Amino acid sequence: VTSVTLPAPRPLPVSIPIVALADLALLTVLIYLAGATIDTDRTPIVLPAVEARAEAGPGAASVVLARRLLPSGEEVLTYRFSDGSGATADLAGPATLFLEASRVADRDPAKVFVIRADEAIRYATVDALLETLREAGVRRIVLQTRPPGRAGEGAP
Amino acid sequence: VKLAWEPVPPVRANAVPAASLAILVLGLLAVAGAAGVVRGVGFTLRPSPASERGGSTGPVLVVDVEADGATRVQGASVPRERIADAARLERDRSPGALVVLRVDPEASYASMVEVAAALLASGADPSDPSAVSRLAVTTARP
Repeated sequence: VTSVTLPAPRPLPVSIPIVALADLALLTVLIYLAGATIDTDRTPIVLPAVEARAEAGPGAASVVLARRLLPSGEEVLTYRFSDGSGATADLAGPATLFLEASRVADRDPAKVFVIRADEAIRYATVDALLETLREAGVRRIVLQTRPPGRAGEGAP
Repeated sequence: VKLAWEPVPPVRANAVPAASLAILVLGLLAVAGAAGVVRGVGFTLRPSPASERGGSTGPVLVVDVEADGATRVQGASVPRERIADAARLERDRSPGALVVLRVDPEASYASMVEVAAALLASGADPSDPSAVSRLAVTTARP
């Protein structure tokens, strides 16, 4: 009879491969960023400084109403639009905005439209913009603001 | 053959690094989400054009914003910082009144947004019986 003495078994330490998981998380973020559309709209706008509560998510459509100074000194209004899934594009004017907003509202009547307008613009202009959106079938609006005390985008 | 036997200790996941990783991923997602959220003054547009009374036949509280930014509540001049209090007092007299914000076309957009935000904030508490539940915005007649 041969006696064999085996060493006592030692359980392997259980550990989660953190590095592999971190790599996986990073890969997921990179895939997300590659698939997402990043709007690079940086139109300089001084938003109204108001503490406001309403929120619009990343998928909201946006209308940018900005003032632009021509070399001649004349000030003109520029319209830009994004349906929330693509980059912001210049619009010729309110008529084009009506067509774009109608297309989006027809597809998703509950779509939130964010209005980014310069605080110094006459209300009549914004009122006409709101009326254009209403006629286009838009129902939910968020007038974007900035927290009081923070400089407006593009503000000196 | 005589084998030694001893019970294997229960398997326990190394929870601390896993939790750290989960918090990190959650933080990244939260930052990414917060960066895409826009804050502002929210409205719901009515399908039909708003009349001066917003289509209401009940009590109406009219708040005016004039061209120079001056504000009035039911015709009485009120400083902008006291608009919310004045509106609340008027709504106490007429609970459920439709608040009509009438803005001069020449007033600045900022004036309109500030007053609208003040009115909405004055009724932010849903338990407040005088909360602003209906707000119509229209332009003042020239």
